[in-house]
Amino acid sequence: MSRWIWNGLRTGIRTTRFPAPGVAGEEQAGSTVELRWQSLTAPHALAAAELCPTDAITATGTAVEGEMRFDAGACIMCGRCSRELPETFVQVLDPRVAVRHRNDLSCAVKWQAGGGPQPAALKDEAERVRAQAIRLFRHSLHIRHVDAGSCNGCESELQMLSQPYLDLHRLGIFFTPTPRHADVLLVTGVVTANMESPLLETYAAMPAPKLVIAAGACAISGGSFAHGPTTRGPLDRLLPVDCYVPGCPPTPQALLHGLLVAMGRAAARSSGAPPEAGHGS
Amino acid sequence: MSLRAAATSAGLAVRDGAPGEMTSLCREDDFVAHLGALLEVTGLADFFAVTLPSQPPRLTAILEAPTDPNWLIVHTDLRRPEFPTLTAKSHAASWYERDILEMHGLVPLGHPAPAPLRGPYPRHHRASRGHREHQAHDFEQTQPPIGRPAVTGQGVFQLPLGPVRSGPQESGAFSFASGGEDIVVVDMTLGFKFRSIERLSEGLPAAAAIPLAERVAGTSSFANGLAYTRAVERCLSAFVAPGEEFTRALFAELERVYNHFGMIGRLAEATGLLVAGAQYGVLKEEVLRANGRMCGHRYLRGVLRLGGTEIVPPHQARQWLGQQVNKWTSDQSRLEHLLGETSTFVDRLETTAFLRPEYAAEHNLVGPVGRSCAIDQDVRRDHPYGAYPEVEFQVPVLSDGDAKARYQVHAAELSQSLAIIQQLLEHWPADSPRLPPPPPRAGSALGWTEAPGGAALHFVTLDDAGRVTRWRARPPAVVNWHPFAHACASGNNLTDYPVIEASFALSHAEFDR
Amino acid sequence: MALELFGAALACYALASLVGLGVLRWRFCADLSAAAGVVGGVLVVITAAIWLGGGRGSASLPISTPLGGFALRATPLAATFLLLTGLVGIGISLFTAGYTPHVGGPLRQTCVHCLLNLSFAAIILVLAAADAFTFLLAWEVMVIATYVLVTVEFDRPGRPQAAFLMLALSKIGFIAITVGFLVIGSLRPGATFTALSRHPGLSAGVASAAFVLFLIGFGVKAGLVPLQGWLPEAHPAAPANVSAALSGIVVAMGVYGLILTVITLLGAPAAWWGYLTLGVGVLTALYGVLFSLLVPNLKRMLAYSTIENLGFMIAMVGLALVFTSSHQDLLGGAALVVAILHALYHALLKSTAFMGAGCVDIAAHGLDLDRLGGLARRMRWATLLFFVGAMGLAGIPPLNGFQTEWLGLQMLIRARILSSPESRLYMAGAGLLLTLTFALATTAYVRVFGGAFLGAPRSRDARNAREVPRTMRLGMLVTAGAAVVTALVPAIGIGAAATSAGGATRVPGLLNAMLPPIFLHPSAFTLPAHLGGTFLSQVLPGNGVVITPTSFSYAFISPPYILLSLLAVIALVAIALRLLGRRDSVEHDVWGGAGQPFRPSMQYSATAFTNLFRSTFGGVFGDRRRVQQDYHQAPYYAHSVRYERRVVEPVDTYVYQPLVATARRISRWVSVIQAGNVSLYLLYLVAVFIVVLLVH
Repeated sequence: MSRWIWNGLRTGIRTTRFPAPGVAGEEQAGSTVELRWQSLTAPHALAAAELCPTDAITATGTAVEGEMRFDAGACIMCGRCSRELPETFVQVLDPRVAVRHRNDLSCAVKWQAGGGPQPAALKDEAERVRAQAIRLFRHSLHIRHVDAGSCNGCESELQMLSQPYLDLHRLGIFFTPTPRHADVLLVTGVVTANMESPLLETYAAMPAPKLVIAAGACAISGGSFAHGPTTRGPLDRLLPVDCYVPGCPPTPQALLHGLLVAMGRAAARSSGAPPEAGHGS
Repeated sequence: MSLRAAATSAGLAVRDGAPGEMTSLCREDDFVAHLGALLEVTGLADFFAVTLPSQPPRLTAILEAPTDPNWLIVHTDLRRPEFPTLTAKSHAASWYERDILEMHGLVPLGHPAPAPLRGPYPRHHRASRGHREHQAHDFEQTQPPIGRPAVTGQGVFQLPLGPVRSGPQESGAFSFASGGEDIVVVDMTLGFKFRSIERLSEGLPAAAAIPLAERVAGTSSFANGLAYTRAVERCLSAFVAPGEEFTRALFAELERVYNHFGMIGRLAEATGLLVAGAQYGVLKEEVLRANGRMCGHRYLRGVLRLGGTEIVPPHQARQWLGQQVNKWTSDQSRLEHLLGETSTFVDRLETTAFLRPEYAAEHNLVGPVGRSCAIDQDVRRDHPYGAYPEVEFQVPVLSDGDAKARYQVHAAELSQSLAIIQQLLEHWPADSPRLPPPPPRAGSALGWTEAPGGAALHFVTLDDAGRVTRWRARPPAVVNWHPFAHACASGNNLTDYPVIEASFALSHAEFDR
Repeated sequence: MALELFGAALACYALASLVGLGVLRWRFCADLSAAAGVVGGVLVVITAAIWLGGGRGSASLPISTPLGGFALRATPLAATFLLLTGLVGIGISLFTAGYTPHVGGPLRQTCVHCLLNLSFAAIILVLAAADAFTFLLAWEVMVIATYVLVTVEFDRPGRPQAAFLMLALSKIGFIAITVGFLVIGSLRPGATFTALSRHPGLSAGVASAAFVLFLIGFGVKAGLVPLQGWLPEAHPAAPANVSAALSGIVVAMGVYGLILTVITLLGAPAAWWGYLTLGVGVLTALYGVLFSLLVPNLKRMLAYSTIENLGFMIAMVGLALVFTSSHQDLLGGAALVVAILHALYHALLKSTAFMGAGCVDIAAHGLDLDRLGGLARRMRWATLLFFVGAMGLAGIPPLNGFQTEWLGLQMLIRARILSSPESRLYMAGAGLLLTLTFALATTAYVRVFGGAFLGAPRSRDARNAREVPRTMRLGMLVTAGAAVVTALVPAIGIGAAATSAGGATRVPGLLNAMLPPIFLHPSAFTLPAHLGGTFLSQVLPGNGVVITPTSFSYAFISPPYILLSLLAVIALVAIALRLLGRRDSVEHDVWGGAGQPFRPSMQYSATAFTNLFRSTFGGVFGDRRRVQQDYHQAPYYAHSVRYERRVVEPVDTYVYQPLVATARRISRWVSVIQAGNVSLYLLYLVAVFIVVLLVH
């Protein structure tokens, strides 16, 4: 047993200092995709909509007049748009991608005869405005995770959170096996017909106050399975969601950021841009 | 005896399909007879049904012989929605037939337990309050559904392990009948994560379904995506450039490496050895970050395209990867040695969840689980594809069948994978121009890869416009979940359960699709 | 006065028995009989109080036999046993009023009423017997009456065999006792016990032979291994009130008999007597508790628990013998106090438990712990009273079992005063095994109470359970209440036991040694007085409330103070929670992974709770696990699975069966003589005649 201790000591400290300011992007994998509308042209917009395998990029109209909508919540990180149009669709390496409101993941661009694409206001959708993060959870958060039908990529990333590189526990965050002790319900996966009832029962078994986090494209929008016959999601159709973490799967640091946003210790990404350096704690 | 000779002597007329594939269309009345004779000398790799509107239901069986690099695909069209069971000839058929019954409504006559494979599921959640006792419960010994045994005995109680598990794990339900500490019977309910992924692919252009194939399961994204892509390429007779073949093999092995690091880490944590678990967690994270650096996605998604790969790693990246692999190889040998000397780890694994080699052979198990029960099969060696003929590697096989054997097979495969990666990096072919995607045409073909959990088989049927009419995904967990309940009940305790689960390393997503 | 009241009590019981015969015809006779039994019990308690207070007396009839005449006397030794008989008798009589309608038809109810009171009469006669003849006569009446009572429900499976085993073993015991009395009375046939105890005059060999005979004889009644085979069969077979009487009173008679003969009559003991008795007692206790952990039937568990407690009592008697033979008279007396005290407490608590089991049997139509559950919500009073009994027997402070177990272990620690290292080692080993026994007893009672009363009901019968008739609860309240009172006012129990032990061993001052008079002379006991030992002096009677194993320098406890401090802590926590905690709470379903709805089979069963001991002590039990699968076509398609966990009783398998087989073989040989041929029998007659002629 002592040799394990010696081995552990020899391995040294591998834990990232994230979310300390100035530390971001140790991954070289993108956490989400960002639209730089300045370099977008109408034909490119229509071509991108053809490329996209989900509803992340949708376009209507013609090259003369039309609208394109980009929804990072449906982006499954297949990389096609950023390979075709690298200046327009940029992979974001900064993992601070979690948002509070669903609309913060989307943006729209319009073009008309005689002009280039311009950002457009999104239709006002009924959204549930949640109160500010409950002060109770600022320093300690217990997570009840439910896999509502994911491909297990999100679970693998969640398991990485407990490993030394990321070490969830140093931030006061823990996974708990029982919903009775849980503060936040972290849901991955498109909600399948068979998991709908267990998910709702888990939510009901959690005592108030409680938060809900939707992690991954499947939970936010259904991802590749959005129109499937056994899909009951996306999650905000069934439960009030406090935080959305995009990605497929969301990188562990993005998940950490999402948890910190839910706790009120980090600033969410406002639409289209990363939070200012120095915000949050 | 070669597969072709066996098929002919069983009375089947075979045609050649894509290279390495033989197809046969057999009459319904002869189906069981022919297949029965064949199954004496071959193994049943897959058995499924296709029901399309305005066509008779078609059953397809995929067979392989131990020393033959070919596959035999036997089809038959049914006149009535029923067929005689193959279970008497091969126990591997039992779950396939239950799946056919559940998904397509075709009844296997003579099946010992003809019941749906999945479910039942809770349908109506109760957000009720003030519920003290469940007065509605009926104490009559109700006969459980077919396929699930009724357990009786003094003091036997049920321990439910619901779909919502204790940590960040996949959803699947188990119910243990226990007399106290021991496990008498395990009742599994799988299929909670059924996303009808195969149905979603129907009507899509073949290339558009690659992201779906990658999302059958996250930890075997690349293997399943590659098997699907290869199936389509074989259907379209597409050619893949050598550099891209090497890229594919490289990423497939990287996936195997991080999976096996994760498996051993979870196994160590299950036995309470948290330091070892953390060490392997460090290694797995390093591999995932290397994946990100090599291709931009930690789980190797978005790399595959029809006819090759989107990127080929440049020289600098390959050199960097070579250094990483050296580091991982020395780390792994050091940790493997340490684990072997930690008696608290080894003792928990010995004789736990014993699986008899006869059982494994009768059920045609695949992957490390099968190889720990003396089933010497690996599709990289037996049905070579991609860049694997260019590299040398061993396939570790043990016959103990317990958790320790499964661990040892995983550890040996891990070392072999690292060696394969080194060989690939050393003999990397020169750059070649990127080939255009192949033109669409109708047909069907089988694609296969060795995923971290075992052989992944994908069978794809395309129409004239190159769209998918039917896609059958058979990832390795579809086969390997079968022995899980049996292994749990072989004289183990409830406290052994985490060790059993970690030693099998099965994915619910692969099974449920 | 002493014997007059005794006579009145005897008459009451006789009357109750006679009136009980009338139950065959008139319904009201049952209540009348019960009432007479209650009055008899009250009279017995008063008699006991008088005898404890110093009342003496004797009476006799002019009959003469080699074993004595018919004589009665009042002794301090019998007083405590009389007290326990009376208290338990009151409780059982009340209980019987409500319980017998459930035993069966009028004939069976008659049987119960008549013979139960007859056994009570016989028991108090045994206690008052002044010579061997009276003793044996009353003893035999008791045995036969209880035998018939055990067979009352003879149509349930296994009952006749259980009763037969009881009778057979009791016969062996009776023969042993009779021969023992003959042996010690050999010098002075027909003498009373008083005369015998003053001048023993027996040689060592004869005394040892008598000791062994008495140990066997009373060991049968007390359930010592290997003579205990009848107890786990007969006690559960009897109706609950009879079981309560058997386990509470009748087994205490075994202890009484042993103390009377070995300590009072045989005089100076040899050392090995004590070691043998102690060893047998400890092994019996361990045997009893191990099996009580496993059996799924509630009454059987209580029967095995009786064996365990009796083992402890006999072990304490053995310890007294050891101390006396080493000339440590005060310690010997103290050990005897523990034995008698435990007999008193055990009688009160075990009868409560058995009566509780009777309530469960009536309410839930079964005693299988794996099919009970959830009775606490349905039978509040019975649960509460059973809980008192279970807590006491499990040894939870501040109740009775804790006091005697603590005292017993302390006396074993005092045994380091013995000179030889082997004996100290022996005592240490005995203490180790006893401690293990007590810990396992706690587990066993937790299992029983949790399995039967807590949780959700595991069968329809348990779910439909309802509260039992009031008289049954009242009977339980009497015994449970008496137990609690004697626990919290130690002057009662220890006073009685000390008087009895003092009378038996002629050691003075036992009460002041074990329950020092802190209330009366606080200045003489500064240490405990400073710690608050005089706190309750205005409230509680007697010497004090601090119990000690004859010396403060060893250890001391105080049950009322333990209770007060427990209550204080609970009150403080409750107040703190009230002030600081939040009041709102929500009830929700049991969380089980959100898969299946909760079913009662998802609870830990009583068998599963102690499954671990089955494996740990597997060597003792011969534990074997068997899983049998029925399948279609291949073992992979099992449709039903049967799980069996077999337990082998070692005494039955390795002692009784071989003995019975040997006896059968011998009798087969011997039966050759009984050829059935008349000429052969005539030949036997002639041969015997010739032999007799030759001899004379």
